[in-house]
Amino acid sequence: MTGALRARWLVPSGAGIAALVAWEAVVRLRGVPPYILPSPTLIVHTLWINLDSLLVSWWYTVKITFGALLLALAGGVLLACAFALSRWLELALFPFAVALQVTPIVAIAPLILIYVDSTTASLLICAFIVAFFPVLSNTLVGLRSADPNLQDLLTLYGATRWQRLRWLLAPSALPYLIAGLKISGGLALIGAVVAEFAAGAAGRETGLASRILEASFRTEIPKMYAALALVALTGVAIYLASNALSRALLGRWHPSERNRD
Amino acid sequence: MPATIELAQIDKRFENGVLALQALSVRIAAGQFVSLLGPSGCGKSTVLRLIAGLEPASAGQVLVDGRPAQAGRSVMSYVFQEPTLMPWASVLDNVALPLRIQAMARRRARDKAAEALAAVGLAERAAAYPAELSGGMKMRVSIARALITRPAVLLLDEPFAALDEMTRQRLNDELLGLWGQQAPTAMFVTHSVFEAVYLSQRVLVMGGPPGHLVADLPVALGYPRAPSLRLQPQFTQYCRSVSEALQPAEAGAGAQRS
Repeated sequence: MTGALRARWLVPSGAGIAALVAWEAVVRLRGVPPYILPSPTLIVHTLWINLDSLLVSWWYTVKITFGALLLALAGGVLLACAFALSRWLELALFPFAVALQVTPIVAIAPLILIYVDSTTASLLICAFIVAFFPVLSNTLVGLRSADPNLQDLLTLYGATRWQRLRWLLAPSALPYLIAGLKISGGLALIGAVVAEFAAGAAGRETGLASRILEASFRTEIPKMYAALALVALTGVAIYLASNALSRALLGRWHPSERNRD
Repeated sequence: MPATIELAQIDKRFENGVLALQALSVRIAAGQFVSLLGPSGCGKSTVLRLIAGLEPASAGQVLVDGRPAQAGRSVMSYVFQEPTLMPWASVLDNVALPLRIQAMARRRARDKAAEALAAVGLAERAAAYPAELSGGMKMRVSIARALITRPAVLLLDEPFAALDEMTRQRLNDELLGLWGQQAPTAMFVTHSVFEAVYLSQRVLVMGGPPGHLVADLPVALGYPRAPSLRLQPQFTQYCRSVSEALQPAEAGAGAQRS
């Protein structure tokens, strides 16, 4: 048990460190110039020098990401509940949701930027559009997959709609919602960054995408890598956080979490 | 208070056109323990669902305590073939569910649930989750949940079918003990002749499809019943007569299917 647990942390971090060491070695031994491929130590150094401006941008991207994720969670769950209650509503609105989902966000972003005055609001909308579909479709499946015998039992005891939602539908949908959230967390970050690329580096408050664009205009490759590293680390942190949430909420009863070491 | 159950000339046709029950009439006195026996697919479970008010009859009338059956109206409990517990809730909260739906305060519902769990010998597992229990324990929890409302009618749909023989016999005795304390009208669906005779005062043998009554056999053995009853000649005699009644029903079902 402890061995398996240790392996779950040691193996991926060991592999990560090995890759970084190999990267550093290749850059140093071959003398690759930093404007082609900077070494990991140089990236860390660049990150350290530009820490203030990068952290401000990072915080802005994080705010957009989590704002969009919260909106996606609220919107997706509410819409899924409405669809679960009304088949007509689902038939009428689901095609819109699918159309929004399958249209690439880079293609929609310029329009949203034209229609919406505030850049921050446009970025939020873009990230929301990307993030909300997995929450919606997963929660809908979850609401529909409640045990029919338990449904009958609640009918037999004369449960109200609200009681049915609270005691049966919401807990049945939770594992599905969390699976959707795991996908949406990453998508919200992607949406936030991609939309900012479409918006271009403008305005006073800007996120990591603007730093990457800026650095690319000036061919400051190490700085591009530094900003990129922050995006990647944030994505990994979101992934780990959603896994922890899943364990905390489902750990004791759901097979997806119970059967793990 | 136990309730009478009356089915008068019941037909049940499903939406897909299948006729599940035809001209079924039976009257069950308040507080009686009745078993419903018959081949697979003869509509036994449908009878229970009609009494519970989970399905409407296509023709005829289902009366519980003299009033048309309707889910959520009378105090009725249902035990399914699977334990049908909420996997996300502790054993205690599972048993308390019917009381919580009746808007009883959480504290009080849990106290009552603890009592009900003690009655099925699971007081120490109150905090466990269903996935942490054995099949027999889960079924005990399911029975505790069914009895916590002190139902007028207790409907059991092959609750012990998936259990091993020893657990099954032990649960038969526990069920009889609990039934003896509360004495609801009990309707027990089973495939087992022995189980039907051991538990009930009356065995209804069904044939079909479409489901209809083939035999209505009283079991004049007193309560409480001890495991040693299974070895006595009277018991064997009852089992034989129920088996004999079941034979034409089984043959009929076989002919229908082939």
